[in-house]
Amino acid sequence: MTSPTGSISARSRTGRLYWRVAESLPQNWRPAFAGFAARLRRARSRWRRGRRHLVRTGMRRLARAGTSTGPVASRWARLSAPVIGWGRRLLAVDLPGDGPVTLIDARGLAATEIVTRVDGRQDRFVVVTDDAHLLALREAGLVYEYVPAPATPLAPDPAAQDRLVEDRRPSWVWGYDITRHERLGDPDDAEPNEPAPTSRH
Amino acid sequence: MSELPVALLCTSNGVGLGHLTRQMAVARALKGRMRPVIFTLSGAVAVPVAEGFAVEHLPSAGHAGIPTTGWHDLLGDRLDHLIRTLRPAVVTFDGVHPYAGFVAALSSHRRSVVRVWQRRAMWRRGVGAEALATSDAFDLVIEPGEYAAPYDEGVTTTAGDQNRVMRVAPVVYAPERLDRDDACRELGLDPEAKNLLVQLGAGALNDVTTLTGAVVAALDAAATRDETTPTVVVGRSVLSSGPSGTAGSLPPVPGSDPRIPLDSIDPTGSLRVLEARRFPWTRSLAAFDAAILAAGYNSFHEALAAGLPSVFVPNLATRTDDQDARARFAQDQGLGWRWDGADPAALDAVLAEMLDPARRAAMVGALGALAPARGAVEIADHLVEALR
Repeated sequence: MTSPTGSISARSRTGRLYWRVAESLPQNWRPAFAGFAARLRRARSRWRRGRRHLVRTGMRRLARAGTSTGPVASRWARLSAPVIGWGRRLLAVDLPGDGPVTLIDARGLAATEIVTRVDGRQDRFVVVTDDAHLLALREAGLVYEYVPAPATPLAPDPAAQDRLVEDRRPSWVWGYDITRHERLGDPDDAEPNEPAPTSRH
Repeated sequence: MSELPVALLCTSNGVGLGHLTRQMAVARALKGRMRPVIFTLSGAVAVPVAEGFAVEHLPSAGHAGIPTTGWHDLLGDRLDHLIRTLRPAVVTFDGVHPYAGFVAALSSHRRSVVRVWQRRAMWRRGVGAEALATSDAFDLVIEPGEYAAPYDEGVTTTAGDQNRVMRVAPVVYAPERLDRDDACRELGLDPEAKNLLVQLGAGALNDVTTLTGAVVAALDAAATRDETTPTVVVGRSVLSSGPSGTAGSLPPVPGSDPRIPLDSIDPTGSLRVLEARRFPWTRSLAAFDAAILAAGYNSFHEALAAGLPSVFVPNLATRTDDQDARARFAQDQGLGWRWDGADPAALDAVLAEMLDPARRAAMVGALGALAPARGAVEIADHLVEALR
């Protein structure tokens, strides 16, 4: 603002100074604030991941213990069945459809053969395969778990593959809430997993 | 078991073979220095298994209706199991979105393994900022090189982790490259003839069938117009279904696969059309004079590194990968042509240029000036160095 004589008044100069200071603050602080906000976002992300990891690790151990084989674990599992059932409901992959989930061991069969054999089945199941040609299973919309075939680097012989399967079975059982096991081609051999109270249905 | 340290090379699913192929290239470069094990979510497990790699696999969420709830734990549990049993010294992840379950499991082993995010750049503008937040879950970020890097407008170019990012040359999986005579002999092609390759991707997100039909029809029209008799090989993705050819016995396409609309082609016309499903194409690229390719990471860099004049057709439906930027870069720099996959007149124009021997010769010269795509070796060097 200028006076009638053309000179800028002292009051006006002070006002401009205040304005410039006020204007410079966000301009100068913006990068610092952006860095702080980014750190805050990362910290929040880490906290959420850590919290989820802690809760799920605990629940996973509980569920694993409840689905382990062996008389001690089974007795323990029967006693704590409600808790385990609740935990597994939270953790398990909820496959489409209804009813108990069967783990079908189809190792040794070609993927196309598996598709043919399970064609028409209405129940929920997870196929364990060692055929690497998985596109046939994918195109048929089957849920599967892959284990390396014998004579490959990760499973040099059938015994090594068996060990892999047994090692992973608890993960599959709690992961898909599996209550039945079956060897493909031997439907009469299907039997409920022990213990069975963890089913959601 | 070998005494070499284990490198667990993980990949996301992806819409094509980009992630898996890069990890195969790194695995190959690591041989003799580390013991690579590939853990992939891709359904193309048969590809690395056939190449002799040690492979583990878990189906990705979304496949067969598998919900993400619970799947992340399944993934985390599998990774945890692999780390406990294989005891890797380094775990790398090739993908643009590190999964929550993966990151959680990896973090619990942070004291025993070197964690590396192999992060392809060239993201679409403004996409993926949330994925970058997981960067601090890794000790190192390695960016496979991009010839089209000057056109990269994605968030990775300005990410806050630049001080931890190592950039290497483009990564191409090329176990061996046949010369023209051998490549033609293997494919059953005449080395004296004009051979063209059409490979437009896996078709997971776009309609490759229609695109392929349009390209083949346009090539047929051009051949009739020019009174030439080129041979067109339609390369099928190993991720696609349908009939497949084997090396040296390519079945003729017209009439053999109803999914490819080749009705517009006169069966008695001058164009000879064959199809093949094979991997990797890098082995046989010398058999071709030119190509019409998808603009995904693999096809783009394989063609440029091999000096093959190509028309690039970007898949505009990808979520993260900015294929159009690659195609524009090639067009602008005289390293290829771009067709948007829609305009037939534009297709005729680029094909006319591609079929011009003088234009192709000039382009081969320009492609020869590019830096070699030895990114896999550089990544292997970084991984070995990280253990020291």
